[in-house]
Amino acid sequence: MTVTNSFSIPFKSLFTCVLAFVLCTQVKGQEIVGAEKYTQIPLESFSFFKKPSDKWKIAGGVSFGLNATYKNNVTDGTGKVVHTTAGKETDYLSSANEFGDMSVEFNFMLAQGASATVYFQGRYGISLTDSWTKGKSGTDVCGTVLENADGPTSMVTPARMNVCRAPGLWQHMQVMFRAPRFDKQNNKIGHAAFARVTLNGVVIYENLGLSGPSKNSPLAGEAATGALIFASNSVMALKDIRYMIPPNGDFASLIKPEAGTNIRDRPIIVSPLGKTIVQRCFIEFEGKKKTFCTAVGNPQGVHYAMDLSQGAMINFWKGGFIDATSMWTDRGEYQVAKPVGSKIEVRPVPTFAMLHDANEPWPDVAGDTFRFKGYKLAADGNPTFMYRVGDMQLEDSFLPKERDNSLTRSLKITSGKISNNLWLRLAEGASITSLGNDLYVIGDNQYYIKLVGDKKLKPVIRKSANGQELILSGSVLDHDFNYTLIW
Amino acid sequence: MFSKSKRGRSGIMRNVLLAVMFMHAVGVQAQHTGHGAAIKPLTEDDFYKITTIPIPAETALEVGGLASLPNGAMAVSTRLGEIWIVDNPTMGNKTKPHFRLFASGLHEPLGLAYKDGSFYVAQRAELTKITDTNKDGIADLFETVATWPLSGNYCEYNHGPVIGDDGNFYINFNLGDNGMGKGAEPFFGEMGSHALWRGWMVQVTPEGKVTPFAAGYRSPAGIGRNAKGELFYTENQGGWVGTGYISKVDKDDFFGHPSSLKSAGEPGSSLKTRVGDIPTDNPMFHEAVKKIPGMKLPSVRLPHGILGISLAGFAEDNTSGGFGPFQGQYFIGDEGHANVMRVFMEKVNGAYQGAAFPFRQGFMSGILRM
Repeated sequence: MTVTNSFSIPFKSLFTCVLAFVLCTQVKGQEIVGAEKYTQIPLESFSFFKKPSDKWKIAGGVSFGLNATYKNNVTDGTGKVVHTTAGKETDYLSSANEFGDMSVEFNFMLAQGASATVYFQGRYGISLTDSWTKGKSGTDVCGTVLENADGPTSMVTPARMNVCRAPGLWQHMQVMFRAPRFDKQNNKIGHAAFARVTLNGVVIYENLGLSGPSKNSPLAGEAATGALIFASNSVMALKDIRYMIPPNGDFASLIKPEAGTNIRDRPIIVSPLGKTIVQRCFIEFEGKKKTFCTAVGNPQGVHYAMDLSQGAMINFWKGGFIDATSMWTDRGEYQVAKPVGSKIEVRPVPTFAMLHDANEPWPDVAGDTFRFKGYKLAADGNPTFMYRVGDMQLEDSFLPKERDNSLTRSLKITSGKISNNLWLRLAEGASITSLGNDLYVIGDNQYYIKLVGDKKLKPVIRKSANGQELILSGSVLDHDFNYTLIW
Repeated sequence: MFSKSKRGRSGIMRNVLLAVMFMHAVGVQAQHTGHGAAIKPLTEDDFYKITTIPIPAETALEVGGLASLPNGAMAVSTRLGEIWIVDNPTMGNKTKPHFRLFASGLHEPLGLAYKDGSFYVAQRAELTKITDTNKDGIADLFETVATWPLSGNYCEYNHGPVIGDDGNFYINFNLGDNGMGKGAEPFFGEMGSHALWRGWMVQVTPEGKVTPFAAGYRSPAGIGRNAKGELFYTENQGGWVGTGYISKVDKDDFFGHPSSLKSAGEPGSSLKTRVGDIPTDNPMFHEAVKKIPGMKLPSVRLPHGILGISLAGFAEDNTSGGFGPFQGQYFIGDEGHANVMRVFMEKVNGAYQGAAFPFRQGFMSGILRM
């Protein structure tokens, strides 16, 4: 019997990427045509699942923190399912029903060092492991499709990049799984496949054929259907699990082509190798072009972009640097530099503002007293941005750190007297929570901000137009003021 | 680059580099063969030779701007945002030129000027002064001189800057295309001004003050000045522009594309022309000039498709005969036809007029800058 891959995915959509959209949390997923057809798995109880071991709990709130310094905090309620303790035994959370082809998306949160797996049909596994401190790609990173049971002849395909978020943050995965095909005599005539695996907004696999089940999978053999199984021996949580059955096994028609992308254009990926790259460009924010921007890419693989008109960050990401294809191929739209990686977007409102008091709302746009003055480059290419605010000259630079995937922002005044009215805004989110030790978590466990330095800083968490914001009096600029973005 | 070589003498026409080409004039006599042999008709190549400069494989060198440096080097800005400094650009020792990457990461700098140790480029959203402060041969300081609004439309190109005798910078702001959607430009169609001062030449002081200078531009791909310090620009045929032209530019000139007039009443503008001045009865051009306040006839119009199709960069011959008998005349490159036209101009009653001639064709790519 000859077993062949029988993907029915039209070529046209094979290499398209899709725009991000906001799920219930700030973790972004791929935009799926007809996303409303997804069925939300209820997490008021385990009704969707076979009754699991009592290490799995339905919960309302969950917080793990960045590392062991912070206590796991799981509160009663519904909407989340938590594997509450770590141990040697692997516990399964298995759907009561069996599925064939399916597209599934969910959010997950890992405690530091946690390791879990999601198995399709209980056989084809994808790793949900804390690879935050691992390298830029590999077969040990979160999202890796597990080695199959073929033994020495098996071939492992690394995830395209390591886009694992830090422990304690919500991550988003979307998987389009194609079941193996069988003829009427139950002979296998087509391999199973992951048509597409997306982690934190980045496609890490596409049309990966699966010649057999993963090693040590909960279910053996191959069949037309099987249970969706989450397996964990670590502290981790899940929420917003949704699935759909693609009509006729056609995944390609679920994927919306990306605006301004011609799949026949040769991709132009800009990669910082020896030196930091400062690339002036247009950057898209919430579907609109920001026209006065720069992207900054580091050999460390920790990148960011600025809206220079506001002296503000617009996004930051790890992974590849930018895709300049639409910017540099032919003329015509779309002309934006797109982050190649899992980005976190922040609304680019001014970093600096003159407030009469701590109750005055933060401005959306920098006032007339603000001017972007340019930037200077260090020998390694790292830029320092220069601003003028009133009579003050300010400098702004970033230090990327590989492995722990952080970006430390350094702000300082270089001339002029610090105005008593000067304030800095560090972050905005639906909510902002202090976790202690100068660590703040922004939004619904979206990213962290850590204040650096031995000074007793007194940031203010206050209400903003979009939730809450973290602001700080400009008096901290009497020395270099540093804070670290961690995600 | 053009150069004219006569036995033992070679002159470089300053500031004239055609993307990737050298051009030599060679002694005509040498081309004649002896009696009895077939007579080969003389071609442009027998007088002005095109020589391709060997470019490193690591860059496409899509030239956006050119500046000749006091030390004989040629600086080139590229569409993808680099500045290269080319030493030995004329290959005088019959050796290859040397390319040094001076700066990168700029946003489509379609022009390059050099003054007092610094380069100036018009990026998409700003005029930038670029300097090598630590003298290691690589730029390390990028100072924003001035900024301006953009809609983000791809066609909002900025051509320039050129530096005037007054020390100010002059930049042409291309209109955007109609990619803003139907109805965005209900009256003007085709190309439009989707942000302040699009379709204008602007003046920028060294301190960063942006003043609108002239309007009515469509796709003004060439900007330059002559030895006298007079400003000129070239325009591309299209909506409201019947054929490409070169024209002298003076403060508050209006050249005919009405989309720019959306900004005419904004603070800083002293232009007299307003949208309401544009006649809707399709007058002939010479009549429209009389009717529309501030409207100027271009100096020399070049027949579309015959002498070029998209006029771009140009240069005045100030080699005093080093490049042939064309002192004071202008050479205009064409980015669509990959050829060069020659324009003779004279001032009559205070206005330039003149005639255009084909000069050289056969280049390997369109010519944006000279």
